[in-house]
Amino acid sequence: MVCSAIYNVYTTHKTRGLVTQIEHLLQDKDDLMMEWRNLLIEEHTLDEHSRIRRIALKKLSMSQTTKKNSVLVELR
Amino acid sequence: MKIKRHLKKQKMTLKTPGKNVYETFSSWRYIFVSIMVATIALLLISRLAYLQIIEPEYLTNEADKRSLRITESVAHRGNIEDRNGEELAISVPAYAIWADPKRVKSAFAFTEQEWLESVVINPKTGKETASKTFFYESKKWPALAEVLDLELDQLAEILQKPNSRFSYLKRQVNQQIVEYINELNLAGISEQLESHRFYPTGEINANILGLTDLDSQGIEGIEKSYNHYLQGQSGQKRVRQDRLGNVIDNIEVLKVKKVAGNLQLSIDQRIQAVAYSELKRAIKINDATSGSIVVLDVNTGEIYAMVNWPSFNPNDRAQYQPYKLRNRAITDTFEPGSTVKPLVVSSALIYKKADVDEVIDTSPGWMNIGGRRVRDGHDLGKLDLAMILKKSSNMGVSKLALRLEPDQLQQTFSDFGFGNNTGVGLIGESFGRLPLRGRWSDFELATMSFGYGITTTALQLAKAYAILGSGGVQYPISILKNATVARGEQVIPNNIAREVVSMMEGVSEKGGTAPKAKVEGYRIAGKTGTSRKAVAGGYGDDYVALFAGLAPASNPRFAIVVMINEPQGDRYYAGDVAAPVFSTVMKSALLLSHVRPDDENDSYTYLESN
Repeated sequence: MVCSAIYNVYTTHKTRGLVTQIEHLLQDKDDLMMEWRNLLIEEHTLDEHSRIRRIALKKLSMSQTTKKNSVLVELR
Repeated sequence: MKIKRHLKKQKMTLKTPGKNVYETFSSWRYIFVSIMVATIALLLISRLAYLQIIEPEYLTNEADKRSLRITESVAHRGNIEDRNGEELAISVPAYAIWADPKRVKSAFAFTEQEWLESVVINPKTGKETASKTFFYESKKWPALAEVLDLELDQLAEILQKPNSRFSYLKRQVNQQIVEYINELNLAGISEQLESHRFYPTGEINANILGLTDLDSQGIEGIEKSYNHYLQGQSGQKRVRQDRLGNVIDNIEVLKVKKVAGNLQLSIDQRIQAVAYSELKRAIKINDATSGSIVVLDVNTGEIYAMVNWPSFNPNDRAQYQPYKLRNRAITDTFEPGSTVKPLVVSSALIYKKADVDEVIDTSPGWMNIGGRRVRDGHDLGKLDLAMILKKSSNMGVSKLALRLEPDQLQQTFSDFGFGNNTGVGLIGESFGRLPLRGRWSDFELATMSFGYGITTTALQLAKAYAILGSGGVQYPISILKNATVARGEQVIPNNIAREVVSMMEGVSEKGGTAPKAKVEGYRIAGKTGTSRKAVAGGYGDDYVALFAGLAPASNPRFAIVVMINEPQGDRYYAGDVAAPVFSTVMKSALLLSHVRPDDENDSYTYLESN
C-alpha cells in the first residue's frame, strides 16, 4: 500500500510537470504565431506592387517584355 | 527528593540486586497518560473524519480559491487570401489601453486641495508626507498622453470621471507602446488583448474586402458577407495553477475555442494591382468621377479582379467615407449602351431572324420610328453583321431588333443574366433593371437594342460577355476560389456564341471603334459603349465610357469590362477612354496566366520542347 501511495505521488508529480510543459509550449506557439503575423505584415509592406514596379523601373532599369525579345516555349 | 530516591535505589541495589525495579511504577499515572493519548488521537481522528467525510467542501473551496484560475485563449479573425495565397487581410494582436479612474484618483491628486488633504503626519518622526502625488507634477502622465496621442487635459478629464471604474484611453495599440506603458508603471492603467485588422494591399482591395469595426465584426464587403466564417471564438478553460503561476492541471473546458477559417478568394492580386493602377490613371487623365473594372475567367465564373475608384486606405480610418467604400462594380448600375449590340445579334441568330452572312442596308444613316429618330454618326451603307458590330451601327441593330418580338429580345437579355443576380453572394449587389412588360413601342425596342432603357452593373455585363466567351455556358459568378469547377448551364447555343465572338474581333482592327484595345500577340473580341447618362427629364451631357471584351478570341479565357463614369474633355468616346485600359489589363492577365498567344500575324520566336 505504501508503495502504491508513493507511486501515486510520483505519477501525479510527473503529470503536473508534463501539463506545465504543454502549457508552455502552447504559449510559445501563440507567441510565434503573433511574430509570424507581424512578419507577414512586414513582408507585404515590402512586396507591395507599386513599390516593386518603381524599383524595377527606376533602380534596375527593367522593362516589360515585348514580343520581339521574348521566346515562346511550349510545355507538353 | 530525587537525590533521596537515588540514594535509596543505590542502597537497595547493594542489598538485593535485581529486585524492586518497578517500585516507582505507578499504575494511575500510566492509565492517565494512556487515556490522554487515546483521547487526543480520537479527537484528531474525528476531526479528520469530520473534514474528510462530513464537511469536505469548505477546505476544497479554500484550496480552489487559491489555485483555480480561468484562462482565456483569444481566437483571431481569419485571414483573407488571394488565389495564390497572398494575404489581403491579416489580423494581428493589438491592445486596448484602459484606465480605472477610481484607482488613479486614489494615487494621484488632481487639485491642490486634494493633495493637501492627502498629507499625513508620521507619528514617530513628525514628518509630513503626502500619500498622493500631484497629477500635473508627475512626468509620467505627459509621457503617457504623448504615446497615446492625447492631450494631457483630455487625459485628465477622462481620469477624473466620477464613479467610473472602466474607461478606454485608446484602442488598437501595438506591442511596443504597451511595453513602454508598462514601464511607466502607472496606477490604474492596464491593457487588454484584442485584435487589429490590417490590409496589406490598402486601397486596391478596400471596396471588395470591406471593413471590420473595433470589435472585429465585419461591417462591409466580404468581411460582412463571410463574417460568420472568418470569425473565430475565444476559448475559456478552468485550470489549476501552482505557486509560480504554472498551469499544473486542466480541469475543464468552459468554452471551446473555435479557430477562425481563412478565406481564399478567386482574386489574383497581381492582375488586381495592375487593374487598379490603370483605372486610377485613366480616371485622372480623363478627369472622370468614378470607374470600375471586372475581370472574369469565362470557364469557371471566378472573379480574377474587381476594382473601383474612388477607393480609400482601409488602414487609415480617418479617410473613411461611405461613398468611397461602395463596391461600384456590383452596386452601381448604368445603361450599357452599345456593349449590348453583340447580344442583340445573338438574339437575332437564335430566333433565326437573321443569317450569319446577311447584309443589311443602313442607308441613309437614319430612320424615323414612331415619330422619333434613330441614327448613326454618318451613312455607313450596306453592312454585314460583323461590320455592324465593328462600326457600332445603331441602324443595323435597330433593324435586327425590329424583326424580333419584344419578349424574344428580353428573353435573350435575361439569358445573358441581365436583371438577375450573378450568384456572387456579396452584400449590396444590385440586379439592374430589365423592364418586363407586354407592350413595347418600336422605338423603345430599337433603343433597347443599343442599350438604353435597361441598366446593368459592371459585373452583370462581364458575366454576359463571359457567357459569350464560354460558348454559351453560364457559370455562377464566384469571388471564392473554386476547388471544383462549378457546373455550367448552356443558355445560348454554342455555335451562335462562337460566331458572335468572331464577329466582335473587327472592333479592335483598323476602321473599328477601338483600335486601342489591341493586345500584342493576341486576338481580342470586344465592343465599345459610350452611353449618355440619364438625368431628370432626359439625357444629359455626361457619358459612361465602356469597353467589354474577350481574349484570346480563338478560345476565350478572360472577359473584362472597363467602365469609366463621366469622362470630361473632348475625347469621351469609349474607344479612347476605356479601350486602352482594357488592353493593358487584358495583356497582364493573359501573360500572368500563361495563356498561349493566338495571333498568327504577330510571330513569336518559337521554341518547341519535345
